[in-house]
Amino acid sequence: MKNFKYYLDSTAEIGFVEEASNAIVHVSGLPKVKTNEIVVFETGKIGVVLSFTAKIVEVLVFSKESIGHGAKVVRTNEFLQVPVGTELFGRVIDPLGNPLTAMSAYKKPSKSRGINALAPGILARKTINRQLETGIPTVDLVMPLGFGQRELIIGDRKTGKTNFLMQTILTQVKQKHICIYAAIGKKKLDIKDAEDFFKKNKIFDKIIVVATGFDDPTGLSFLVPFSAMTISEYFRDEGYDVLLALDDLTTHAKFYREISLLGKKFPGRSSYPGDIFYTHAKLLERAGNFVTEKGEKAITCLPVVETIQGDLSGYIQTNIMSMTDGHLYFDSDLFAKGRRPAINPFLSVTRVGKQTQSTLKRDINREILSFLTIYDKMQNFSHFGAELSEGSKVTLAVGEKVIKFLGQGPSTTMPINLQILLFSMLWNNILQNRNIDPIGGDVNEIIKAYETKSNASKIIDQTVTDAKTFNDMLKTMKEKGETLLSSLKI
Amino acid sequence: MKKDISYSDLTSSLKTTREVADFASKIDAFQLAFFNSGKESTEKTLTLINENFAKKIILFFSNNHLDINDKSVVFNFLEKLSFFIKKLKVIKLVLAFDPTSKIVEKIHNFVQDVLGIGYVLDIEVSEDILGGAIVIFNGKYNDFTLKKQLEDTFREKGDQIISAIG
Repeated sequence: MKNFKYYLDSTAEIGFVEEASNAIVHVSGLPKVKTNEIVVFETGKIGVVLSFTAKIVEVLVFSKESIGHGAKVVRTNEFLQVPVGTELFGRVIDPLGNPLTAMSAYKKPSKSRGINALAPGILARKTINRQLETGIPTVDLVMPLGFGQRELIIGDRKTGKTNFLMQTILTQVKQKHICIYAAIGKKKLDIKDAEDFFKKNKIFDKIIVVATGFDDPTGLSFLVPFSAMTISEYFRDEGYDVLLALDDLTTHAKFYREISLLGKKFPGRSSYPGDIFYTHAKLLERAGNFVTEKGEKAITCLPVVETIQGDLSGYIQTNIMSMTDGHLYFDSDLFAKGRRPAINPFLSVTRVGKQTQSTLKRDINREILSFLTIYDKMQNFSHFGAELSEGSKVTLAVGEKVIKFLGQGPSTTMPINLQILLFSMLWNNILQNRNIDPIGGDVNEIIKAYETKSNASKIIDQTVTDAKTFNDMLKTMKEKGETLLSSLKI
Repeated sequence: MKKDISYSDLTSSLKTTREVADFASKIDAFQLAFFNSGKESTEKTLTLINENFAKKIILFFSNNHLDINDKSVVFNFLEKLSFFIKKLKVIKLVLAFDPTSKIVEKIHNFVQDVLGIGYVLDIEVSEDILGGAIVIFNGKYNDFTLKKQLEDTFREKGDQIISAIG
């Protein structure tokens, strides 16, 4: 950006601050100003035009320090842009592309893109038909997601939502997809934790983090998801599948509410402005599965929304539910019971994920879901202290094993073919007498062996590909399950 | 009160924003005094504020055939006059020197001849501009300063000038 004097000379227009209230200032003058145009104050601070009348221009300021009455403002004829390019990998940036801390300065990419792009129309879109691997059996086998799906991650605070995002990002980076993590108004410590997680797993140089801290200017925090989406669009157009995690949109809504109330917009339900739905919808509509010049490429979006005491009927919660293709509900009760991840399959929805699955995966999905339903009923029944039949006891015992299988450590991710293999083994009673606690050493060793022994993994992948149905898979397990297991050296 | 009353008779002598602010403060004082005046006549209340100001107002009332002792008429007058003052358009001028009242009057007369009535000057002094003026009006910024001229000349013909001097 150039300085105040340059824009003053080039546009020959000036404005004066008439009223300032925190992030919003009202400016007189600037006769040819446009909405979304960047304005520069004489102190060098920048802002963006939200709206204007014949006399007053409403500006959102990207600065924490207050701006005084009478301060001079110039317009720039430039619109909000974020630098885009591979230089952003391994960087934590603010929504305008500046490093979050002075210590992490970097060479900005030369290309940039407008933040407020319109969502592509129906002709640019394609049916979601490829499964997105999260590396988490509960999701991949029970609540599958597709490339280009917008899946809401919803739940109370501290129920493992961010951890789920981290695991998904880890899996996706391993598969050479682009991952962008948007941290909206988070604590600086949380941003650092995410950075440390990526660094620990040696994937930080393949990830872009767009973030603002809770003490950063409200205007900047409001821009985070839009900026992250713009970067995602750039990589989509470059021919990559992109995973975008927005953490979280309840905070984003609160920031937008603050801006709107300061801008004297009429408050609606829970004091949110009337266009909060529009704001989030226009953001999430930019994700999806698209036909691009470089083939079918997707932006998969995982927005996070926080609930209060498990209340799914909140305003922002229901809004975002209605604009996404399903939701994964992180249940605080399950979390308290020790289930990791604490996804409640009965309260979760995936609208387009199942259409991406093969017959085998769909069979497994049905099998698990119907079994979990029976297991859940049986568990409730057993709480009455009734004398259980042998059948019920077996169901409960198997159920415990299935739940254990679906459980997972915080940085463990399991390839989907291995998930299918292990579940089939479990189901076939092959592993019934073994220690199959996934959190324990066994499963981790299997995963490690699968990832390092290419011969063994090839055989397993072929076995899974060859099986058309779950019955085929079970038959194969009966015949050579032991051999496959020994190839992974348990 | 008649609709075609022109308040510009009262404000035509106001040339600068400082004079407008001074006039507005007198109106405020008159408003306050008027509401606290009780049974005192309006003329007496006015003279307590400022004699010249009082003369102007009394003359304005008599010229427009208005009853100065009718409280509702005076109330209406004050409201409309305040509104009229707020509507005066400001032309901001940045000059390199502090202008005398004669120069201010000349500039104001020029503005009146060109644009008509209803304009006041907001004059700021900045020696940095060396000479000429910056004119800011309706958000438009026009730099007619000597500093700008010199900068432009040096940008365009800097090499020639230096070689001519050297």
